[in-house]
Amino acid sequence: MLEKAIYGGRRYWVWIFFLLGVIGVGFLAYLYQFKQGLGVTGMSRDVSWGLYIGQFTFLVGVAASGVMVVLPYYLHDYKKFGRLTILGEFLAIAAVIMCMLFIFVDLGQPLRVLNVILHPTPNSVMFYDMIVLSGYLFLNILIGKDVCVFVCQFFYPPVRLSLSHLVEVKEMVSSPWR
Amino acid sequence: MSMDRRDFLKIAGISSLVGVGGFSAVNSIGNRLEASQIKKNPEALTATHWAMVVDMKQFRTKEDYQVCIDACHREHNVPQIEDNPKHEIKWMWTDTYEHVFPGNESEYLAEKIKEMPFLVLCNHCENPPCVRVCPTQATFKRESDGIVMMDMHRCIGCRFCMAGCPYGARSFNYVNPRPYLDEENENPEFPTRMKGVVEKCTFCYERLAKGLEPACVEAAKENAQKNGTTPGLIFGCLDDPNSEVRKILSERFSIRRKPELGTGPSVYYVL
Amino acid sequence: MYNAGKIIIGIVIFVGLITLPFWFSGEKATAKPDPKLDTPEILQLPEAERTCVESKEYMKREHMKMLNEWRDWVVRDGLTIYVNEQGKEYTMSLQNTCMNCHSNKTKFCDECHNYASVNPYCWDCHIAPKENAS
Repeated sequence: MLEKAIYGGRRYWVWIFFLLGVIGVGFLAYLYQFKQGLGVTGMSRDVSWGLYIGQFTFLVGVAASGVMVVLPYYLHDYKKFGRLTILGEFLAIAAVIMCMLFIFVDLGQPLRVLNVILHPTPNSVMFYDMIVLSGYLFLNILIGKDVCVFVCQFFYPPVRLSLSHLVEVKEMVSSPWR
Repeated sequence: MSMDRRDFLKIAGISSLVGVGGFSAVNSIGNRLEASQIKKNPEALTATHWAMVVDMKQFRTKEDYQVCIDACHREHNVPQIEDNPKHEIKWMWTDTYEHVFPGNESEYLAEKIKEMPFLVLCNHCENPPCVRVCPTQATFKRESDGIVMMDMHRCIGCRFCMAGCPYGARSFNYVNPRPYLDEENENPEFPTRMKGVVEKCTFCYERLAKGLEPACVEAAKENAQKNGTTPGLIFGCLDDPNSEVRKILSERFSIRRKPELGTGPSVYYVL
Repeated sequence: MYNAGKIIIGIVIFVGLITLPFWFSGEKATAKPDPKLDTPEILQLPEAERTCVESKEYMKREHMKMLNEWRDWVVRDGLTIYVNEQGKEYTMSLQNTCMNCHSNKTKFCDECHNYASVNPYCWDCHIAPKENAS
């Protein structure tokens, strides 16, 4: 995955640095929110979930769509989707990282986020949120790395066999989101 | 490295399991305080199911309500945030019939009832939706006495409980509450909260542990004594057939908020 | 050395960044902590009764763990009385029991905490006892 991202011309890198600048500004804005509290968002006692959660739910769907794009190629052997799979993987990883970050910035006490894992609560949907999204991210990174290895190594048989196995696992994990 | 991916994943998984398991085992064996050293306060008020009855007949003037609300907010250092009503924090407040019992109002309902300010607080439900959705069990139903408690130390501020509560009983600290506290009137025996945690009425668990009644109940009693009436808030155990709450519920017609949701609130309103 | 100039500049920047905590803590880092036990409440007690909930060594080592366990017992389990190793009973409360005697947070708690550069978030919620500006 990483190898694909660092090959590009001058225009590509200018664009990347511009986007990194936008990320930096966002990070500084988050630091302000961290210091002042969530009151800066304009949410209230009655409307306690706002754009953060709205964006999170939208991006979760986008991340799941990464599966849709990868499925035809691997499961149904429809090779014409081959050029879309890498893009799908990048999109899925970016979207799932943004999902988790949206939840993180929405928390009033983000430094205590590991309490969700230290004190697991199976009857809470947010607990499953964390587990499933982390699992999805992990699997996507694993598979995404292999997609590039796969393409670069021109159908080297042992890699191809283990790849299809991983795609099945990824679908099982992400099926609630379909 | 000639190891293939499957072996790497197996080794990584097993070593992290062993690592985490070993760490928690060592931690639990280590220097722990003995459980036999902890006791409940013998003076504590106990019950198996605390409940409250709000006798609306006894609330005649605005002062009758305000006394209870002020006692609660003073006892628990609840900040008065006036400059931005979006951030207000209230553990107990009043609202109209239309909002407290939605679905029941009609055009020809008595004017008196339409305008009557009903005292509302956390209902300490028997089947609380907030407890069900909390991802860290920071809000939990105490099995011994049925109070829906709030652990401010563990709350991550996700506000799922606020979304889950059908009665809007919970408040979130959107800003640091300390600047909004009145220094002279604060209660030095109870902590405040910091920004980023959710808070609500807890049936004064800390007062019950010392053998005192909840602050609002006590304030209602004092107010009634002053005016020569009967107190408007009755507090007691629902499972005890001889308690005051059972007595008043058996004699008069009572309603609860939104019973169709199946939450089983423990706060009854008697008109 | 290839690129000697860039490497040396990089090393200097790295050392500067790594030692940043020391630049910021300054004097606080070197002064030995001296927690003061001479609060009016402690001085009122006769000499024999001037003991903490547990022994000094135990408190020094374990007060963090003990406070964590007290917190869970009081808030989550509803138990409020602690019986120490000598059999004496205490109410488990930071604000009302511990700070009753140790009413000088800035000269007691903060001494060691500043030295070790830890910032426990207790005081964001728990009200510290009012101290006279002396």
